[in-house]
Amino acid sequence: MSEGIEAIGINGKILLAQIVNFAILFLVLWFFAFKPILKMLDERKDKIAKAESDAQAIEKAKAETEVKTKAILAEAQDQAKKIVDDAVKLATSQKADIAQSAQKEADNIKAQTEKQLEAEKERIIKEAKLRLAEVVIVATGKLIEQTVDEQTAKRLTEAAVKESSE
Amino acid sequence: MKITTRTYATSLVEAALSQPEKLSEISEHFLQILRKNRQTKLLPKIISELEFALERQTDTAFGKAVFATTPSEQQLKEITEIAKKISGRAKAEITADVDKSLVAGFKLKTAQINLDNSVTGKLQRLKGALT
Repeated sequence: MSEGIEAIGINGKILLAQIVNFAILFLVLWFFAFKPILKMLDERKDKIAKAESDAQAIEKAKAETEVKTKAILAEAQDQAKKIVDDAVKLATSQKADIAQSAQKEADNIKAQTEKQLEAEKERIIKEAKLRLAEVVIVATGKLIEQTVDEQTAKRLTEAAVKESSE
Repeated sequence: MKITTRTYATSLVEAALSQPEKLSEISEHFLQILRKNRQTKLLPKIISELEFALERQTDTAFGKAVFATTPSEQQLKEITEIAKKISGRAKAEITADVDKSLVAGFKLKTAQINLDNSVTGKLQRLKGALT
């Protein structure tokens, strides 16, 4: 067989040596190059898978967060609306109270003023009556003093005594 | 027992009437009793009551009549009768006075009576009625 190979120009020994060399090279490359590379590729593959898994988890968490955020926002909006509604109700109620209080105070002031005016009116009328009575009495007294002479006074005194005796 | 102003006045009048010559001693003794009983603050009320007590004890109305003109004897008698009738006393001792400012009529004042039948009195009552 070596003769046949040699016949086609191939040296059997050299071929064997090359095969051995190739085997050695293959083994060296296998242990020092292919295996670490494969290991590295496997690790990278794992990393990529983990990264994908993490990415999916993050995406899921993001989606959940968005849902929660929307729910919180909706709740916050509801609360804000409730606060505004309550504030409006309170303001309306206070407005009514303030208006009622102001009306009551105005009524009180009006009543008090009317009472004072009535009292003042009564006082003025009373005073006017008193003055008028004084004027009437003084005038009547003066008139009587001027018209009642001694004789009339005696007659009137006698009549007064008689009147009291009866 | 609490002694009233009426009791004090009546007792004083009784004592004074029974022994008029010892009036100053009776009065002094009376004041000592008031001081002892710590009732001197009642003195003004007792004095007011004396007039009534005297009227009760003597059954006489003591008073004063003021006329606008000088009263006649008849008028004085009538006034005395008026005082007896109104006060319900058996007797009346009324002194007379004249005040022309009354214009006409008279006024009678005793412990129980305060009668004003003068023109000025009537005018004052009219003034009261008008006001």
